[in-house]
Amino acid sequence: MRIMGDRKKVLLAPLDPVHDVGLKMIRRALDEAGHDTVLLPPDLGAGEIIQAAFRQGADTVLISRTLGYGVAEILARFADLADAAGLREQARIGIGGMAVTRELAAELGFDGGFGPGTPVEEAVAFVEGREYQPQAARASKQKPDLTAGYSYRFRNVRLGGLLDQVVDGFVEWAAGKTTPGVERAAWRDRWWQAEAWLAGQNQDEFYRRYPDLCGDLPRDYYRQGKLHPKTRVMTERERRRLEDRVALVRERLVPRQLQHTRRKPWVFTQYGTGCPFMDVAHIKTLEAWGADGVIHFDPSWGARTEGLVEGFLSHQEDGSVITPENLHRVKEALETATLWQVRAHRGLNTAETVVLAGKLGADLTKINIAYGALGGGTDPARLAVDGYHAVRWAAQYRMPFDVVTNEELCGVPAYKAFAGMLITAAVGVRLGARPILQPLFCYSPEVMVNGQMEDDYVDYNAAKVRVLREIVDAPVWPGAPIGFLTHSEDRVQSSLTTALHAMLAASLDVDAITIASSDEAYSRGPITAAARIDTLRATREAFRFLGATAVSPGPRADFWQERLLAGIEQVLKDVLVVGGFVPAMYQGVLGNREDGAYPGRAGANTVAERATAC
Amino acid sequence: MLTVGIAGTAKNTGKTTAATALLAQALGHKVTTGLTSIGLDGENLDNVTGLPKPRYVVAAGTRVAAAAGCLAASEAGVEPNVASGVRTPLGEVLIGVVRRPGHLVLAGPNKRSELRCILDRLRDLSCSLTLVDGALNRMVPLVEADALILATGAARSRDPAALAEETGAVAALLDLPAVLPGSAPQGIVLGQEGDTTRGSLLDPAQVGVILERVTPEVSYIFIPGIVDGGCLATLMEGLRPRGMTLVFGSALHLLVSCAPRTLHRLLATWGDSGGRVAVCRRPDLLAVTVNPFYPDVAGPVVRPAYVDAAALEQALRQKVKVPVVDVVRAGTEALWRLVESRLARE
Repeated sequence: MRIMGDRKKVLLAPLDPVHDVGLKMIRRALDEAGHDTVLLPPDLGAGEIIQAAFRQGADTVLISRTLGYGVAEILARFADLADAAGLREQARIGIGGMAVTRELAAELGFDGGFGPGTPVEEAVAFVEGREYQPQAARASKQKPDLTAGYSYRFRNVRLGGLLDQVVDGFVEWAAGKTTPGVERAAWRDRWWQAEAWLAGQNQDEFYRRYPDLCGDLPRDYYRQGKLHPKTRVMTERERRRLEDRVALVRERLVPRQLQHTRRKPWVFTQYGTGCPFMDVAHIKTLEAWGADGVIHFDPSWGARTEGLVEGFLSHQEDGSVITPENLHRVKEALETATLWQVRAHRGLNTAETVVLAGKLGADLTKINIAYGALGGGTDPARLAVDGYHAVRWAAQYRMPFDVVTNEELCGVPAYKAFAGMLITAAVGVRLGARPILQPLFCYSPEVMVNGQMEDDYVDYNAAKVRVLREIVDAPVWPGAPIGFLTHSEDRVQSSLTTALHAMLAASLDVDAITIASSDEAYSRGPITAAARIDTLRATREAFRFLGATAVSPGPRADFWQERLLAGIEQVLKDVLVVGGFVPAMYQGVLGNREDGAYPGRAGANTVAERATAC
Repeated sequence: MLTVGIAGTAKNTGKTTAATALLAQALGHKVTTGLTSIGLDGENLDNVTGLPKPRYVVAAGTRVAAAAGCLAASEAGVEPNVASGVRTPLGEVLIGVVRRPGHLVLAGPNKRSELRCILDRLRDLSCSLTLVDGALNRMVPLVEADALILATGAARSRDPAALAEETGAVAALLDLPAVLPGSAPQGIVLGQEGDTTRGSLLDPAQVGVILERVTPEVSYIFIPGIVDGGCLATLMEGLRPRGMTLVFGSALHLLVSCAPRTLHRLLATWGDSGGRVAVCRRPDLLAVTVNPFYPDVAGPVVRPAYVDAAALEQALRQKVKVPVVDVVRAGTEALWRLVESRLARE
């Protein structure tokens, strides 16, 4: 069967003392493509190979040899002999074997180099004189919609009914309330226009009242230009250098794809070093190595601040400040196919962050009322109202949001955290938004104490995903990151545990995962780009290994799935008993002091009745 | 345009160091310079030993011919990037002028016919001097150069006496006379029609065939390709040396298939018996550069190591007629002066 072009004459010569399997595989492919091949026996001298090439009238000579110290000179000598003998006028010469790279082939003087993992098609393309085109997917990545195809129907009717009741009560309570956070968000929604801001136009109406709606820190910024002590404005030179760098990287960036034969999960990574330059540098590295999405991490003091500041700001510590300029710069730097998530899941700026992110083109946000109140330090009533409106705005700006059970990390058992997650998600569904469930794949305090992961990391994590699926038809995105608290300072171990959790997640057909770098858990400081690549590379390998097959959880997964379901149901009933979502948070139903959950205090007593309900 | 090729006898003999030294001198003397390589140079770490390597930092105005993949990985900005039609494992060789100075990774045309083509393109860009960096112990494409610098050192052999002998032999071979144009005497040329060996002498059976064709009128035998040492010895034994000239493609053609000292010995014996040798292409050997460095592979990890530099230089000077220069110890002036005076003769 002929594939394309003329029939070529190919001489295949193993310079290795032993026959090379690679050459045999290539020979087979060449024969099938209709070419004329001669495979020499191993261990012939260079002169003999050259003579054979002339006798055959070869168009292509393929040499195979394992590289090692001293072997480079032998191969270089072969290239020289072929050149001096005039063979290179007649034939192209390729070198293949372990440790061969294109760079080595160039140095040794060959026309092509084929290392381990080279697809046979690439060697055939070389013989036929064509450029080898790897999968089209590499060239054109598309931005996916994580929530596509989900109906949000409650499969478990009983739980669906309980959630409906909780949401009914909650919506009635929240709709008539407001907070300074909500006021600011509404103000920004009404008066702050992204296009006008980008164009440098005056937004006097916005600034007329905005500072008054803020707390001290932002108000001092707007009135006096005072910055948070740990921040500074990026210099003009830094701005330009960043722009240059992005342009330079863009010229040569070809985003990889991590997924193999399965389309999902999409892989998210986190950024937020505090320095916008570093963030963008990391983001480009992440995109190049296959990340599908990036998540903005902001400083923890942002959660306790009423209001957002502005400016292209660098922050001395962890977390990149949320300002219009900072967010815009990130957005500008992203490749078109990269998903961008800006979190709003705790703190006094929850609602306003959603609005700002929406205006600046974020694809997703993150909202979890229960976590933000019980583990994130925000007053429950305050966050409930802010969260309610944040969900409304997320719907308005068409941003799906994930609901992450970070309170598991405090020690709250999964069943309680899931109850809280489901309530927030159900509020989302009710308000026309598109929530995504984010259970944790982690070695949480709960499992440390109760032993669910003594044997393996598979069953309990599987149970979590399965119970959620059992309850509702919604997207599932394990985080945050997966494998949290199973990582160590050992780079290999850290990458491997991430990859194995990714493999489990893929087996469970989840929609997305969040992974960390291999040094994130232990870095004590800056996260390196190399550590980012570690886990992306490992994850890709895990997907390759798994393909369309699956890791199969054991019977304990079923056991824990039942227990989780029963637990969630009981909690939801208890929520109703104590009077609803907000009282439940205060009274520890969704996580109590013994669990390690404490109702937050930031924003206490800031909830007020609205002038008009919405 | 003067083309200077930098040929090495092994890896890590200091080719790129010599090239960067000359580049810097050329820049200082405002000589428009072109740069290419028949291998891969300017990368951070050695592909085989993992040790750091000297890097190219090119100034604005330098003309370069480099593979597309290298330019993409380089800090230096080169424009315009005109396609040359020459393909390498790292992409097509592009020709241009450095606009933004910086580090350059350099892979170029790695065979003779392609180097010839690239040199023509660099000539079109008004280069007065073009440097062609070599690769490992590969040399044949450098036959296209006008002049050569031979880089050798401890990476080739740590024994100064042995290295000196070999280098002396190589230098003497590079000094073989070029064929003089003149009336066409009768001769035998290998590689004519029907000759499946295309002009190379590799098979002992060929020797007999050649000898049968030798008549008293035949005054030369031209072997344009490669020559197996054993076959050459057999051929010489069967010939009457007096009045016979053996013509080869170049000294480099001989060096690829026969050890220098063996070759030197064979040719010396031939010469002593009245026979003559000539080559078609004869780049001038300007200098030998010597590098005392060698990679120490004895331990678990490859480490840099050095022999006694002064002793090595001394030993080489005893056996080599052209100047011997250690660019790192003696500075780059001496080497540049040799290139400069050759340039003046263009």
